[in-house]
Amino acid sequence: MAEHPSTTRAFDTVLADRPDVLEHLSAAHQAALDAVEPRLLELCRRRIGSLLGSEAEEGSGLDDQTIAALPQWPSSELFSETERVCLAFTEQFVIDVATLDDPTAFAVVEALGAQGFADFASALLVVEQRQRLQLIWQQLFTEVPT
Amino acid sequence: MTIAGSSSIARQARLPRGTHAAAPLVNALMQWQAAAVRQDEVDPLTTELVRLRCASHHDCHT
Repeated sequence: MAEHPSTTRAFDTVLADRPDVLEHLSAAHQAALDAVEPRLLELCRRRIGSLLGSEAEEGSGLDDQTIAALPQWPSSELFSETERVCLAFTEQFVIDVATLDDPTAFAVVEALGAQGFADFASALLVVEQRQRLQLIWQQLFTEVPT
Repeated sequence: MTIAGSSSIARQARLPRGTHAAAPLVNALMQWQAAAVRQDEVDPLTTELVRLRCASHHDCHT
């Protein structure tokens, strides 16, 4: 999956005086990208962005047709069954992670396996945190790029 | 168990005991979180309020 330029610029700006935090945040992001199949994580990252109202970023590696169809993932033929169960998980994860239900979670376990589920959930946490941080920092600091 | 102000959710174990995300990802997450909490520019009260809110949101009882 491609780097996400605007988020990376935002972190470079806000964390310029905290290089250790920036270094570890960047390392966590890279580890997340390495742990999950790129298209799957990018679909979920974009869905998170839509739900949170964060700006879409260029260089995603997804074609325009797929991006346009993402809000219709439950019915669109452009998405596999694995992608659908992971997008369902992602939506609950973003909206209220504490009440994420068993059927949604077990569907991901069935699709990805136990190890894949653990990797996916942790990677999802990283990409969600990055987008939430960027949104908050854009509100707090005028110099943070959008 | 129901904690005051929270809902009670019955869950099954979702993963076999001992299952963790890939070591590089777990280690990177732990180091990022440790680096974040080492920051001391937010006052203790605000820090604790945020910690409690995060614990509630993530259904974490630590």
